[in-house]
Amino acid sequence: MSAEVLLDVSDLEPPEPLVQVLEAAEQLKPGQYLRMLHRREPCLLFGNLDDNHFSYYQRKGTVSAVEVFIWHEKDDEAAAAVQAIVGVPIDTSG
Amino acid sequence: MRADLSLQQSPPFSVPARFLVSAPLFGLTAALVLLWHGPGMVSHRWTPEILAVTHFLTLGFLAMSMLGAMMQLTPVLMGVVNLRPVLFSTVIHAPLFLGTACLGLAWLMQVNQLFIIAMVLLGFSFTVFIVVTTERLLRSKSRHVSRSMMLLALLALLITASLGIYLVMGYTGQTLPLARHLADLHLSWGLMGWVLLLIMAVAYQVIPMFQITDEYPAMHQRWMGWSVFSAILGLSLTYIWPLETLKTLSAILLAGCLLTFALTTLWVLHKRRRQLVDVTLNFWRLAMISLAFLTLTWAISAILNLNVPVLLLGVLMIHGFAMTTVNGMMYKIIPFIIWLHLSARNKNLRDRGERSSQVKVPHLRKIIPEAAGLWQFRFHLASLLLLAVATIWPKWFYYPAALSFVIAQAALLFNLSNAVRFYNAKIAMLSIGKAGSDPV
Repeated sequence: MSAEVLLDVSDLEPPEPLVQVLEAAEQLKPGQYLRMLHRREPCLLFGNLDDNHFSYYQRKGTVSAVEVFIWHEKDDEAAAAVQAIVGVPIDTSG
Repeated sequence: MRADLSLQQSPPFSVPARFLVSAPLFGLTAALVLLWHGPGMVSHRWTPEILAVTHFLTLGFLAMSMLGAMMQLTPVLMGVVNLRPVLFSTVIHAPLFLGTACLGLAWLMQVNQLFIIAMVLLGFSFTVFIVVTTERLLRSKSRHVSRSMMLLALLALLITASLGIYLVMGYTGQTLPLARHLADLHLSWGLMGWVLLLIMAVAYQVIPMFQITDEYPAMHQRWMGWSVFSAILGLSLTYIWPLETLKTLSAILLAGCLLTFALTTLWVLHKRRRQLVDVTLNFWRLAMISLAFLTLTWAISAILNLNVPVLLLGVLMIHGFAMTTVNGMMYKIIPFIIWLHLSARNKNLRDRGERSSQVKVPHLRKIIPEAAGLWQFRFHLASLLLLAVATIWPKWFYYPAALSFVIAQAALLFNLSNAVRFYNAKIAMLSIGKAGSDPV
């Protein structure tokens, strides 16, 4: 099982990026994180992730304008995997 | 599995809806006044009927929908939180609606007292809106360029409203003379300042979001708002110091900004990532072509010293650019907020374990059917073309123009009302627990 689930929503019109990301996040297994590629900073996403107990990290993308990493709040293994990719410490206190 | 979605900062549906549905009511009223009074009313720009129609459109249609859109978009895009959104929107909407109606009727019926009532109501509505929204935007953590442009637009609105109130005082029968020489200043700050700056600020956000395009160039976004504001300020200063060089430079800067914005938007839309065609795209394109045509007409007439009917420029700016843009955005904003609110209601029901009570939330394009929007666009386009030529040949084109304008506004009102009815029906279904028969 790969730790990364890749989801490119760059070419989707609202509200599809939001819907697809929340659906994909719900299906994450322990140790997995979602890597979302988007053309712009997402709207309404982060508050919804907070409400549904997900952690996230956003950065400038390499293949798309924006990348967002999303994982279950208490999933330390997924958080460590994201940290290894982004190269900066991630607060996993929830 | 379904996404769990919450409304976040989005205000209740009634907050933007009351403004957005009121707008075509005033558009329709304006069109009916045109139809009723006949071609004599366009003999010059100062006829009471023209002033009434202009303000039904600029206050009743444009300001109404732009204030409603700001109440929806600033919380979502800028993180601006209004603590009592329903109360706030009522305090703004009711006096704006009544004040606009009074102002139009004051000109049409020549009743001075109505000017005073309009002045008080509109002054109150705009003051509260500007003060509260400015304070909220200044406290917003967003550093998007749209924030500073919205602040500039609000400053322009303050200047427009102040000049407007001063001008209206000349009609109230009191001792103050009618300061007609300030009308162009009022018009410049209103249309080029408030309307243009706000449309630009919103376009930078909603075009990449809804039309699936790349962002506008960073340099364009960074300098456009300040350049437009400086150009209008420069033109305004020439009212105090009549410096011909300052006037020419400001006019060139403003024309350059208008043309750059129009052409960049057309380019961004042309290079969109998915070649999807929808009715909002048609509206955006028409608006930008109108803006470019307006700028070229204005510039060429100034260079060659040609006498272009001022009403033609008004039609191109108010109807062609501003109303077209707002009309198109309504077809994205209304379905999106309906989808958002219904999805959030479904989430609440799931959280309470009442999945059988959920309602079916259709695709955005089905909330206002594409065909209905397209037909309305065709009438809107016809009314624009006919109104433009009617300013030159009123004898032949006036009545077809007025009639097509009536149909276009009635169709818009019908489409938006249908969307609101659809939302209310779904909410009623939820509240009486009959949604179980509505397959999710």
